[in-house]
Amino acid sequence: MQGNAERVIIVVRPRAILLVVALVLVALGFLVIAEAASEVAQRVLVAGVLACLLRPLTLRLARRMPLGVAAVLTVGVVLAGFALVTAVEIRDLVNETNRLKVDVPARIEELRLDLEPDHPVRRWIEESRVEPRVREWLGQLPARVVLGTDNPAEGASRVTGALLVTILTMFTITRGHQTVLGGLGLIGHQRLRGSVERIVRAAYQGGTSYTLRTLVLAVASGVVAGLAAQVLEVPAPSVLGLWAGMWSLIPVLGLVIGYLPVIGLAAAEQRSAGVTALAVLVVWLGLAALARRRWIARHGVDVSALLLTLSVMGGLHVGRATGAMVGVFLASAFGGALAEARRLNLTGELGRGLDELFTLPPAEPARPKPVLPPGQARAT
Amino acid sequence: MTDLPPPPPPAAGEPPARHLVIDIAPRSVVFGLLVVVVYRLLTEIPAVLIRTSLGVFLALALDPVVDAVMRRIGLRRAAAVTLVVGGFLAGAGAFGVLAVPRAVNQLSQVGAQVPGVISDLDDLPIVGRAIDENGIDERVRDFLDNLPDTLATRDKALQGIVQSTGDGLVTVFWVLLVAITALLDGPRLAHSLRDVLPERFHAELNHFGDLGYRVVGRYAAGTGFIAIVNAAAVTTIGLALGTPLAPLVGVWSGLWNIVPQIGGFMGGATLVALSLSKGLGTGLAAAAIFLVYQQFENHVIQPVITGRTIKISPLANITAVLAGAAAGGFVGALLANPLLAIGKAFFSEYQQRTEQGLPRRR
Repeated sequence: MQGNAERVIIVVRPRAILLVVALVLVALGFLVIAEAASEVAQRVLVAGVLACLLRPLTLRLARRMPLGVAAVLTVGVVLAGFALVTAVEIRDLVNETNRLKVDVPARIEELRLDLEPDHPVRRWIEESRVEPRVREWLGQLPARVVLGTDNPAEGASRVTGALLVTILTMFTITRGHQTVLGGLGLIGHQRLRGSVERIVRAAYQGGTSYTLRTLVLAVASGVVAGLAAQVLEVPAPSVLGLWAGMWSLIPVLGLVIGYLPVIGLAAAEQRSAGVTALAVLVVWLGLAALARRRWIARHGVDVSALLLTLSVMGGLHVGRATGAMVGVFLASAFGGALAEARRLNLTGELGRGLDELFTLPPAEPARPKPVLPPGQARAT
Repeated sequence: MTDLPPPPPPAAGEPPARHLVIDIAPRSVVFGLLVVVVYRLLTEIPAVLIRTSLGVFLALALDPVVDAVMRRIGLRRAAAVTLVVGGFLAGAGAFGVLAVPRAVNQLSQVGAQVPGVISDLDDLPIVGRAIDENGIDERVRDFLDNLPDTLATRDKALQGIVQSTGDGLVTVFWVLLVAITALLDGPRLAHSLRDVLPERFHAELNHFGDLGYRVVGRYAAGTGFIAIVNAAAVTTIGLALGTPLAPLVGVWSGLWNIVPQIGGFMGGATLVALSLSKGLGTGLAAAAIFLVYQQFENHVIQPVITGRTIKISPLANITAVLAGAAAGGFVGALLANPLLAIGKAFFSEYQQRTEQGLPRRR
């Protein structure tokens, strides 16, 4: 030890040790629960998003009837619409599948007979039993499209999951608002709570408004594609319409890719029909771009195309069409929250709240020195 | 600290003692939990992360070209992105139209040529005897003969091939879409995210953001350019020697060339292996020409293009690449080097400031 050195005794408070242990235990618990309940969490998320989207209509209906009845009515209308679309799709899909069940094996047989007996492709077609396999696969196609699986048990599980989402949606419509307010009330810091409330409100409004308008545009894109297919006598127009509508949720290239089957099938029937389908796509691309700029961005929220792409593609990867819709909502809600946070930051409100949150409270104040009268101090 | 007993009085000759209390604010636990939640969410979607990383990497590689087009031709960003991405896609499409049909024709010949070449390899010094004794040519012939049965009897095999082809198309589409939207909208999104934070951090964020972008952007652009040169060189060597699937080997080599250190070997080995199907002499000639080209690339092209952006020792480089490959496969190996370079650039900046006693940027 040198002359002016100082010894430091490190004291770790028991509360700090307990907090570290608690953090580790809670993190481990969270990881275990997340592993086991990821499917349930996805359903809760879907129900939350559906509730946000259906809440404006429910509140409008609730002016004339109790909120619970309005929620049941809204969800019932959506379910009826979904059932109608599914019924139309199934009818079209079954008809087209029956046609394909005859045409495709015939084409495979034709190809097999065209090839030399020792040609590797012919050998492969024969030895791999390609024709019966393709026929079997086509037979399962309607179930795959509607339920997402050809396994009856898995299909039943998905139907049960959909029922659970429906019930959760109704609960969230009626009770979600209070739950969110209760959650926000847990933030003790008053200034930060005010900022977070405004950000959450902006996220809800931006996400709902943008997603509803985007869904309306997607339906319109699907209807245009379906009508074009119908007029140009392309097979399975309603399925192609649904396909185009779903793809139109993906920004930049989605609409083009969604219309490609219509153009391709129309061109396969007749070249002039393909050109007409292409012209319809070009006109609709222009109109859709105009609608996005004038109607969605102006009345909804300005959402980053990169964020929307990542969110929708991630949603598609995790949960197919429903996941894509959730992705649109999350991206637009994030866009709304970001815009509000920027506004709050400009006024300095959010910055002050964050500063106060991130800055540790001051250490215990130093004991004030006793103030002595001047005469006494001089004498001392 | 009123609740702690005062430190014991120092012994004779000992300096005075003071307490240093370590405490944790409860909100630190909340932040810690948030980190765990984000980690869990990210590990849930590895495919999304990989495709997104590749898209952003492609965007960074094309960004200097977009900037150059904007400067030279005076176009707006959206038009410049359309032009550059359109040119990129047109080039890839032209390559596909010209090269793929020929490659498919050659592919059917490779199956017949490979066992013959392996039989010739029986005469090679040192390894020839081992090839002969282990019956490798017989095994290859059996594998090719049994391939249709394998596909027929294993129910999942056919489905797997279809699925992997579908996955490949989805990946290409995803990567392209992320690259296009990142080029169009990336800078705006970055500025929006920055503006949420208090203004006193902006200068610091701008500085480190620019530093990271410079390092990764130049690395991506340089690596992409060298990969194209490599693909062109390998395709030329393959075509000159009559190597089967020469254009595809070129693309394969160019893609592997993006991975530092081991990428060159992977591309060259494929070229040599396929050249061997034309005969031993062709294989040796391909090996010799490729080695000469590789030296030129390593000592002339690479130092000029990326040498100034990434200054990392070869040992650190290969260690990072191997660790990245172990953690994330091809994408991990691809991203390991730029991440290491960013880390080094940030550390150098910190060190420089500490030495000069500079304050934080405001």
